[in-house]
Amino acid sequence: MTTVLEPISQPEPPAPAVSPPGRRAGRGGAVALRSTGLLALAGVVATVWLGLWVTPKAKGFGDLVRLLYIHPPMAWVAFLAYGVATLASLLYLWPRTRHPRFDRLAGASAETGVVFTGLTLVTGSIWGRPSWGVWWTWDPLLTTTALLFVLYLGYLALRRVPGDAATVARRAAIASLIAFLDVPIVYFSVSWWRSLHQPPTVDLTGRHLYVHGSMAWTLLLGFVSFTLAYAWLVGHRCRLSVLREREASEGLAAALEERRLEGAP
Amino acid sequence: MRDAVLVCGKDLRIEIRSRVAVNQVVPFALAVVLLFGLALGPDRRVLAPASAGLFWVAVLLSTVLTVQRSFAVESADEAREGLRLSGLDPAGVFLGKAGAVLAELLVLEVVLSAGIALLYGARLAGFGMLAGSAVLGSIGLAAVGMLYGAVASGLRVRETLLPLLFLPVAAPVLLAATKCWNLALAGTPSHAEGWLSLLAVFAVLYVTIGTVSFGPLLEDR
Amino acid sequence: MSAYVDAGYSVALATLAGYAVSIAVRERTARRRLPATAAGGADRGGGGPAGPSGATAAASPGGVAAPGGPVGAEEGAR
Repeated sequence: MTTVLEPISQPEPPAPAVSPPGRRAGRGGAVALRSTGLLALAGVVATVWLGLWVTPKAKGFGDLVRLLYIHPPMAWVAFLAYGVATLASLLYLWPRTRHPRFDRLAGASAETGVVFTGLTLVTGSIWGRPSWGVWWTWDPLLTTTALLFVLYLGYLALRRVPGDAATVARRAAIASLIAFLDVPIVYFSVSWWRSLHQPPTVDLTGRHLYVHGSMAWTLLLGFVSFTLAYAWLVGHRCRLSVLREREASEGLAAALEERRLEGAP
Repeated sequence: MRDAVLVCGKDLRIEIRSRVAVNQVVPFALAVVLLFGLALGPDRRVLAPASAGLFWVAVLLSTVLTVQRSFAVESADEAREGLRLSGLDPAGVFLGKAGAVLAELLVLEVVLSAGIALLYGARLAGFGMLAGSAVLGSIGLAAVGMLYGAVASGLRVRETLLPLLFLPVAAPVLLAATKCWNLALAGTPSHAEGWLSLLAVFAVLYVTIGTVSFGPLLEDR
Repeated sequence: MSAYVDAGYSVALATLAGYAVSIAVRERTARRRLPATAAGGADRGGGGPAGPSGATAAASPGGVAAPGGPVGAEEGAR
């Protein structure tokens, strides 16, 4: 077969099956993503400003309470991200909604989630040090977060394994489901375990903290902004995955084409 | 579930003939117990209270090896394809293989209990609770181990991947089983009933998940 | 005590900003590499961040060439 193919012979764009799914979201999606990003940025900046300068010190906690505006929001996002990753995994496994975009979402959410989880642990540890004098206490929520961190790392490691992409995606999806069910079990067992040992002298989670007025608003703003930031990061990370996949498939096609051209006399 | 009994029997027979678990996993577990002893010092006042925890850590690590062995058994001669094409119900395969792992773990635990009694000076008591929690805990471990073993099987970095995936998820079993054993050894096994039910919940949950999802896991290679 | 607070905020913001920047940079790099592969495979291997600026214009939204490449390759194979 000596025909040299002409790559760009068709005038119109090919069927959607070939063009990346991101295109279908098109302009609307890009605008939404951009506005999310701007809102997130504004929100985070406002939270930081309010948190560090505007809100007052708290009774007994002093300046340390300022970490309250970022630590719980990040913990929330850490768990949210895992939930989203698991939900996406479920959708990916379910025959009727099996679409690579859910696998991409799971991966993106996991990558963003691991960042937030790590930060939750760091800020939690920083909170604990001046309060308790130690960098780590086996607080149930923090311990569960530490475990979540490891679960994330395992999931991400699994996704990076070389092999057939569909197989790996499927296995990773199942792994995330298995692990997700474990998280509440871990939380219950650790909190039970802790409650038997010593009653916390200083409540690390700040539950006894009387949050009111500007503190409450700042906290709420913190939750909202970090959630928006999460959404923006995941959106862009998904886009990156799409681009990388296209790069891989087109790189392969170009290589095949080159080979064919070489073979033609 | 006749398929389960078949597969379980097959795996156990392979084990009896090759004696890999006996020759390698049990000594490994004993080595772990020994090394913990070296790490924590010869003072029995430190070791004895820690025995339950160290015991269960050794069991968890040994589970990883046992599961890897269970999957390695089928990696030669396209036996995995054979297993899939044989028409055996995948749920049965799961239960059978997990059952074999369970049996091996239980044998290991008996040996290890003797080990900690000897090396750490732990005074074994409350055998009902010890045995009950060991069985329930091991069922949970075998189930989760099998699940992650299937997830990691056939992939290239499975040796390092399996422990990373399995150990965090097995953490509640470690917690609860250690609690049960601590309370049993302290002479108050009845206080451990809550922890025992946690082990039961975990076991039921993961055996169910395994039974349901082993099919899709075996499918893609 | 406020030193801890400052440390916490800085670490958090720096990490998030760093992550966001890294995604944005990688996205830009990947996007620039893309049209090069579709344009007959000439710049494929050494594409890198300094891709041809003309191709970047054709790259993003329009991109008829991009999907045209692999489809053409498949057609030729039959």
